[in-house]
Amino acid sequence: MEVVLSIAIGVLTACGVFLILRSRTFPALLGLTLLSYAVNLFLFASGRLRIDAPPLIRAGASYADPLPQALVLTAIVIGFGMTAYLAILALRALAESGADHVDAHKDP
Amino acid sequence: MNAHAPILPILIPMAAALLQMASGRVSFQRAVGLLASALLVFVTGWLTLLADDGLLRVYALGDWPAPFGIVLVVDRLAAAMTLLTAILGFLVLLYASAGFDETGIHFHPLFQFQLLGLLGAFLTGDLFNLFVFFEIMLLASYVLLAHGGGLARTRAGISYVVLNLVGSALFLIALGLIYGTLGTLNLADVARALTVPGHDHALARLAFALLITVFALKAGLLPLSFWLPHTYGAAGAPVAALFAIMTKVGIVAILRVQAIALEPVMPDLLDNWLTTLALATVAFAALGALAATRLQALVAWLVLLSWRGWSCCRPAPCW
Amino acid sequence: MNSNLLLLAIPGTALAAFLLPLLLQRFGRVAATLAAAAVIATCLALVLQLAPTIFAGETQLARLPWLPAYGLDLSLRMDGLGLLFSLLICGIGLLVVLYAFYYLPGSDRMGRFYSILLLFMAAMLGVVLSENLLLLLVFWEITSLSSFLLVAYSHDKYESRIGARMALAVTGGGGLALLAGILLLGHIAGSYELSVILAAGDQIRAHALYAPTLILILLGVFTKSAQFPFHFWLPNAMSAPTPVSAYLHSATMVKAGVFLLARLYPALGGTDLWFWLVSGTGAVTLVYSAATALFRHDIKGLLAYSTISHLGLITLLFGLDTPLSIVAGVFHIINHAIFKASLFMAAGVIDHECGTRDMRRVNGMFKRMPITASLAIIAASSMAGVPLLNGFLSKEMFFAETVAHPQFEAIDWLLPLVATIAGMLAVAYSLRFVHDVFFNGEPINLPREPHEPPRWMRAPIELLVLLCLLVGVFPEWTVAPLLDVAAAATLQTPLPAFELALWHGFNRPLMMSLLALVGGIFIYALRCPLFAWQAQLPPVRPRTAFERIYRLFVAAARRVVAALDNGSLQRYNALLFSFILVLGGWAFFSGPAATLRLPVQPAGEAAYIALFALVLGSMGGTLLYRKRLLAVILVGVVGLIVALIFVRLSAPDLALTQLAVETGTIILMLLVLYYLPAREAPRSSASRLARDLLLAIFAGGGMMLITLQMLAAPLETISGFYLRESVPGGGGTNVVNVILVDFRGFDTLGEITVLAMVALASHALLDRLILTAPRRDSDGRPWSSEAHPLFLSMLMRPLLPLTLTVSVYIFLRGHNLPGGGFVAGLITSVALVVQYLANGNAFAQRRIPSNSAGLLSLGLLLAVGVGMASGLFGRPFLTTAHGHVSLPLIGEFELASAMIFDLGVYVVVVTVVVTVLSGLGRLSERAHRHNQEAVS
Repeated sequence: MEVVLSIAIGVLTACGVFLILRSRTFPALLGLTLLSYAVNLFLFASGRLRIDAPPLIRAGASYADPLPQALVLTAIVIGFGMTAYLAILALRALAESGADHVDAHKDP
Repeated sequence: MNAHAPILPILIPMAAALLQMASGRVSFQRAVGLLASALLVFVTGWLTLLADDGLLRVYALGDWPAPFGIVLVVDRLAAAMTLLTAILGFLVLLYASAGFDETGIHFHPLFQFQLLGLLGAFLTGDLFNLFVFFEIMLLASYVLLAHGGGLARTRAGISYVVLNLVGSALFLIALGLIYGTLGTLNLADVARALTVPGHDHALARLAFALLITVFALKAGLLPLSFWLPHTYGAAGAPVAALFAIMTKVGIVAILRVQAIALEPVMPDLLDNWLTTLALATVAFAALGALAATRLQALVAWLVLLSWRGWSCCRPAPCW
Repeated sequence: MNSNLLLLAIPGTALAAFLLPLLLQRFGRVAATLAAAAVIATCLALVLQLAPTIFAGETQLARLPWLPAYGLDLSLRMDGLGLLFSLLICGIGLLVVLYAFYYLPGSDRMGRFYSILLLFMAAMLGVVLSENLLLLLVFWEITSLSSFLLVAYSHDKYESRIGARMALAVTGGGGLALLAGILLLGHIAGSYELSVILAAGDQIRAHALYAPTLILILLGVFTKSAQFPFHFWLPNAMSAPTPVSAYLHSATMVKAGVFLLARLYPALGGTDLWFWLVSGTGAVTLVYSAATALFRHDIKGLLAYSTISHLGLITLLFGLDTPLSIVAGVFHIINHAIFKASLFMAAGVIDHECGTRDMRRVNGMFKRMPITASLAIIAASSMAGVPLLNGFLSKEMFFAETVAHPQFEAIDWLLPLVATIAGMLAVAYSLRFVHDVFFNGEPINLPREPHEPPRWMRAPIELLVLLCLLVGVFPEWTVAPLLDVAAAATLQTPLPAFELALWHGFNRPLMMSLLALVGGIFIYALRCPLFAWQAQLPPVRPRTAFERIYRLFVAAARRVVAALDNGSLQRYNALLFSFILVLGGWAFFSGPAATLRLPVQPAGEAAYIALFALVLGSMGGTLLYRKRLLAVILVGVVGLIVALIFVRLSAPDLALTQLAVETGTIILMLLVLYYLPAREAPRSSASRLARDLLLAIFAGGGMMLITLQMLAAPLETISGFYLRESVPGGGGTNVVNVILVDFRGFDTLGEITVLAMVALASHALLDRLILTAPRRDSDGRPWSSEAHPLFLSMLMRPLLPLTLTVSVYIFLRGHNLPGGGFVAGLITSVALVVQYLANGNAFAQRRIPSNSAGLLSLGLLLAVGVGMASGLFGRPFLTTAHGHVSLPLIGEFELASAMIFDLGVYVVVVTVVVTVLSGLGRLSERAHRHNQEAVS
C-alpha cells in the first residue's frame, strides 16, 4: 500500500512540475492542480495509512489519525480558492492583452 | 482584558472587513478602515508595552491546551512587529484614502484582510496556522496587487501567484514532513519533539530546509528574489508600501524557526547557506537599484536590502 | 547644571531644533534666520559653559546606554580637540548664518537652507564630540548626507546636482571604507569607546590586521578631506551657495577627515606605514593642488584647490609624526579655518556684486569696494604666509618641521624643497587672487555695476580678518591656551616645549619663507607663458571621467541584472525547483539518516488498478496538455481517483470534499477553457525540455522516496487527544469535523476568510471586464447554438430542491458522521451552478442573491460572532459549548455552538462558489451585450 501511494505521489509531482514549467497559463493551472493532489496525498500520508478505520467515534474501533485529515481538508479548500483566483487572473490578463503567456513582464 | 489582548490584533481587522463588506459605500469603508487601523495601532502598542516584561504570553484559542489547540504567542519580537505593521498600515491607509482606493472595488476589506494575515503570521505559534495566515496574507496581496488595473499589474500578478502557489505546496510538504516525523505542529512542541530521540533526523532536516525555502521565497532571498522587484515595482504605490512588510514576515518566520529548530538541528544551514545568500542578495539588490530606470522600481529593489539586517545579526560565514 | 547633561545637550539641542527655521519661515526669513542663530548661539553657550573645565585639563565624558548588545552607546567626550572643533563649528556657523541672510536672494524663504545647515552642524558636533566610534560614524554619514543637500541647494541647476552627487559618491564611498576600518579597529581593541582605543595604541599597532585597518580608515579620511587622488569632488562641490562653501568646504566638513586623523593619532600613528601613507599623500596633495590652484580662473575654484592644498599640508604634518608636527597641524587647522572662511565670504561678496567669479573679467575691484578689498587682501596674505598674520606662524612651524626630519637623514634636502615649492605656489596663487581681482585694470563686461556690500554682510569677514591679525601678532595671548589643550588631547601625552612667537631668529625656516615669497612673486610674473603652456596641455576633466565611470557602472549593473533576471516565470520556477532539490538534498544527506524498514501493509488488486489509472491519467494529461479539453477530463479523472484513495484509506470526509471540489474545479477549468484562445503553444526547445524533464523526474523521484521514508519512520503524534476529547469535549463523534470547527476552528476561520477573499477578487477583477467568447472550439467546430438544451433544463429543475435537502442533511449530521459545512456548502453550490448551466443566466440571475459581499460578511460574522460570544463568559476566542437536541425525522443529535460556526462556513462556501462561477459565466453575457450595442 505504502509503495503504491509513494509511486502515485511521485508521478503526480513529476507531472505537476513539468506542466508548471510550460509557458502558458493553462498548463500551469493543470500542473498546479496535479501538484496539489500530490501534496494533499502527502500531507494525508503523514498520519500513516489505515484501512477501514475512519475517525468516527464508535465502540471498540481503531481509528486513522484524524489531524492530517482535517489539515488536508483545509488545504483542499484553500487550494481550490487559489486555483479559482489564478483562473480569474488568467482571464483578466487575456482580456487586457489578448495573450495567455505566463511571463513577458519586463520593466516598462 | 489583558488576557484577551493577543487576539485583538486579529479581531479588529476582521470586524472592520466585515463591516466594510456589508456596506459598499467608500466613505463608510474609509471611516471604518481608518478607525480600525488607528485602534490597531493603539492595541498593538499596548501589546508591545505588555510584552516588554520579557514574558511569553500564550493565548489558547478555543481554550484547548497548547500542542492540541492553536495558540497565539506574544513575545517582544512578535509584539514589536505587530506594532510596526499597524503603524505602517494606518499610514498607508491614510495615503490610499486620497483616492487610490477608488480605482477599483473592495480595496478596503482586502486591505484589512491583508493586515489580518500579516498580524496573524507574526502572532501564531502553530505551524499549520502560520500556513493559513500566509495564505490569507498572500491572497489579499494578490488582489491588492491587481488593484487599480493595468496589464503590467495583471502580468506581474500571474508570476507572483504561480510562484507563491508552488511555495504554498512546498509549505504543505514541509508541514507533512514535520507532522510525519515529529507528530506535532505547535512550534514549541516541535522544539520539544526534536529533543526526543528516535525520530527520523534526515526527514526533519529536510522539512526545515523546505520551510526555510518557503520563507526565503517570501523574503526574496537570492536566487528566489527575482519576482520581488517586478511585483513591488508594478503594484500601486500604497500597496507596494504595505508589501514592504511582507518580506519581513519571511525573515521573522526564519528567525522563529531558527531559534527552535535550526540552531540545534543544522546550524550550518544558517551560517553557510543563509548568510552567504543574504550577502549575495544585498549585492544583487544594490546592482538592481543602480540599474533601475523608474523610481518605484528602484525602491522595490531596495526592499531586498532588508536582508542586510540578516547579515548584520549573524556571525560571518565560515567559508 | 550637571556637566554630563551639558555635554549631551550640545549636539542634542542642534538635533532637536534643526527643523525650527523651517517651521518658523512662514513668519518671514528674518524669523528663520533668528531661529537658526538662536540654536547655534545656544550650542555655543553650552560649549563655553564646559570650556573652563577643559582648559583645566579635564576630559568630560557622558554616556547614555542605547544598544549595549552591539557595543553602541550614546557616549560623548569633550577634550581639548573636541573643544577646539566645537568652537570652530559654532563660531563660524554663527557668522555663516548672518552672511547667508544677505547672500541668498530675498525671494528665498531660507527655512530649508537653515534647517539643513543646522542638521549639518549638529552632525558635525556629533562627529567631534563622539566617544563611541560607531556613534561617530553615524554622525559622519549624516554630514555626508546633509552636505549633499546643501551642495544641491539650487537643485534646479544641473551643475549643483552633478556636484552634489559626486561629493556624495566619493565621501559616501569613503564612509563605507571607514565603517569597515572602524569595525576592524573595534574588533582589535575590543571596544568602540575612544578611551579604550586611545589607550590600546601598542596593541593595535602590533596586531596582524593593523595594515588593513589603517588603510580603510585612511580611505575614509582622505575622501572626506579631499586628498589626492580623491580631491576632485571638492572643486565640483563649489556649485554650492558660497555660505555653504565657506562653512563646509573651509572650516568644518573637510576638516572632519583631518579631525579623525588627529583623533586616532595615538592609536594608529607612529609606524612606518602611517608615516609613508599619510605624509606621502599629504605632500602630493599639497604640491599638486597648489599648482592647480594657480591656473584656475574661477575665484572659488582657486580657493577650492588652495583648500585642498592646505588640507594636504595638515595631513603632511600629521604624517611627519613628531610631537611638534602634530602641534603645528592642529595650529594650522585653526588658522586655515579662519582665513579661508573669510576668503570664501569675500569671494561670495564679489560674486554677489559682479554676477561672475571669472578672474579674467573681475578686475580693479579695489576702487569699487575698498573695504572688502582690504579685508580680502589681508586674508589672502595670511594664506600666502606673510608675517604678522596667523598663516605665517603655522607655516613657519611647518617649515621648521621639514628641516632635519629624522626619517630623511639621507636626503635631508628633499622635504624642505617640497615645502618651499609649495610655499612659492601658495604665494603665487594668493598674489594672483589679490592682483587679478582687486587691481589689474578695469573690469571687463560685468553683468552689473559692483559696489560695497550691505554693512552686515561684511561683518563676518571683518571679524575673521581681525582674528587673523590678532592671532598673528599676539599668539601667546590669544590662541595659545586653546592650542595647548587641543594639541595635548591629540597627542594624549605631555606637550613638547614650543614657543609661539613671530621672531625665532634668522634661521632656515625664515630663509625658506623669504625664498617662497620671492619665488612666488617670480612665478606670478611668469603667469602669461605659464597659462599658455597650461592651455596646450591635454585637459584633465575629473568630472567627465567620473560621469563616464558612473555610466559604465550603471550599464554594467543593467547587464548583470538582465543576464540573471530575464523576467521569465519559467526561469523563476526552474530556479525554485532547483534550489529546493539542492538544498533539500544537502539537508537530507548532510547528517545521520534513519535506517529504512520496508512498509508492511499489502496492497490489494484494486490499489494497483487505481495506481495504473492515476498514472495513466496524470501522464496522459501532461503529455496531451495541448489537447486541452482532453487534458481537463484526464485531470478530473485523476481527482476522482484521489477521492477513491481517500475513501479506501479511512478518510470519508476528505473523499466527499475532494469530490465536491473536483466538480467545482472542472467547471472552473471548462469556463476558462471556453475563453482562452486555442492558439498553438510554441514548442519548447530540446534543451528546455530536457531541463524540465530532469527537474520533473528529480522532483517526482524525490517526493516518492521521502514518502516511502516517512511512511517507514516511527511516529508518535498528538492526535490521541483529539480521539479522546472529541465526544466529551467537542460534542461530536466525527473527529475530523470536530477538529475543523472546534479544536482547530481558528484554521477554519482563516480558511473561509481566504474563500471570501476569492469572491471579492472575482468581483474586483472581473468587474466591467469584457471578454469576447470564441465562436468555435479549438478543433474548429462551432459551439452549439442551442445554449440550454430543454431536456437538461427539465431534468435539473426538480433536482434543485432534492440536492438542497441532501445538503441540509449532510450539514446537520456533519458533527457526527462524514459531512459538515464545507461539504454541504459545496453540494449546494454545485447544485446551483448546474441549474445555472442548464437554464441560463436569465433564469439563474433571479435566483442568485446579488449582494454577495453582504452574504460573505454574514457568513463570516456567524463564525466570528459565535467565537466572540465565548468572550462574554470570559473564555478565549472560539471556545465552544454543546448540548442535546432532538428534531423530528432526523432524531436526537448533539447541538454544539460549533454548528453555528459551521453554518457560517456553509454560507461562505455557497456564496463564494456561486459568485466566482457565475461571475465567469457572466463575462460572455457582457460581451454579447457589448457586441449587440456595437451593432445597433
